[in-house]
Amino acid sequence: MEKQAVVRELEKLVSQDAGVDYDQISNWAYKVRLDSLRELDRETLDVLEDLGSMNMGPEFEWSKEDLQELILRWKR
Amino acid sequence: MFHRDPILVKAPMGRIYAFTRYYRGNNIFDGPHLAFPHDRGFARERLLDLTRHIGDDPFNDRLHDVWQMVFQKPWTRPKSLHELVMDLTDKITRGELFVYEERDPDRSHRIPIHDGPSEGGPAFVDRGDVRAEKSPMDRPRVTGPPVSTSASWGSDYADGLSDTASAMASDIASEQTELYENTSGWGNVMYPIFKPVENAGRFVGNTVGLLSGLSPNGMKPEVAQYWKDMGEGFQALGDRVVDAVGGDGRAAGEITPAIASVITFRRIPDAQKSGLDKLVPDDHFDQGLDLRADTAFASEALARKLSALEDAQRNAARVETLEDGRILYIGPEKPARNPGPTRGAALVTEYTPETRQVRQYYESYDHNGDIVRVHPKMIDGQVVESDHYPPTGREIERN
Repeated sequence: MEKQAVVRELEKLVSQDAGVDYDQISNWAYKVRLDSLRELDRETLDVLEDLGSMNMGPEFEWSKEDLQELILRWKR
Repeated sequence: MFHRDPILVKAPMGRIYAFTRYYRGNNIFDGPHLAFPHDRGFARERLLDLTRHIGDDPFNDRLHDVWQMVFQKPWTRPKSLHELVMDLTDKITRGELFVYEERDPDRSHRIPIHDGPSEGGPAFVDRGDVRAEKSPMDRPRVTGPPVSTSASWGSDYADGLSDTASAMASDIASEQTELYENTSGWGNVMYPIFKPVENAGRFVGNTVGLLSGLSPNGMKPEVAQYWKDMGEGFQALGDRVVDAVGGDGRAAGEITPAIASVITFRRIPDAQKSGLDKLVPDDHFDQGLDLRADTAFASEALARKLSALEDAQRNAARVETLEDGRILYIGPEKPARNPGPTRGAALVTEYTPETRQVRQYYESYDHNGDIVRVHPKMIDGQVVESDHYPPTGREIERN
């Protein structure tokens, strides 16, 4: 998966009306990372690894603002 | 537009690295000395060290110059420090970029070793002339036989060599003792780590003796400098190992992949358990679906399995080998973003050489470094939908 597609999918997940579903984002991030290990750059893979651990406990959860900031940063 | 080749970059401990696209040979004593072997993990860690060493180049402009020198793309540059390091690591690994070690002329107590005549400088520098007054620390621990040989010089010289080897082994042994005494409880864990170092010390001692014996006029200054640098290298390695096993023993990311490939942790038997063994019941997360080899899904799973293992091997912060042969590639610990009882988490890839099974899971650590939760993610390329062990608050509420 290309990075633009990753950003688009993450944006969809973050902008859901029901709020941030940490389990959903975490599972998505892990799977995208696994599928794209040879395509994405290391920095993106590291962030996806981080997002993948988001449902390990409240200590690992990103705020919605942080996720939106990440999306903006990736879009630039 | 492009900088001249080579580009010199100041490194920690007074070293200067010359980055060049041209191979100049590799002679640790008398000629150009390759500072980075063609090992990916080692090169990456050395480059990361360089980026952390601020010196007079806080923005790593020199490394960006190196990047331009090898990539020759003035219209762009690496987007991040990480990309810069990885790009240069690739070039070093592929043999398209070479890094030679030079001495920092600002450090007068060091012996300058020149790769060749410097620009505008004398064609040959007699190292004996430029050496500053030696401090006792610079003095080689082995001196050669006197010029005017007496009848007993041979036995005196042999005694000197023997003393040196003993002194080196003794230094290492005393450091080891101090570590044992000051880190009670970790003796068992550290023993297999320091035992090879102790043996290496003996090896070094013997090698010093051998090399000195080849030089009838005593140890050459280059040789002395080499062993001094080796000593610093050992010390640095020791520091990294102590960092990694000190305290709670889980300062993930401190042991580099290069070091990890040399030092494989072996835990004592009663702690011979991975996070999975401790927290996941035996019959859970054991095997993936039995896929027919000719299905498309099987080939996808195989590709994912291989790339996951390859990535884990390349980027592991620590490597642990369990008693039954399973190898754990533990990724860098990601610190928790919010305060709480959990300190951080890491992605672990477990490889069983016997069955070639690859499992991947997250594990999280409390502030003592103990594994408190695992989350199975993948078996042999098949993504697993699993609860956490033990379940999170959200899972308990949901169930």
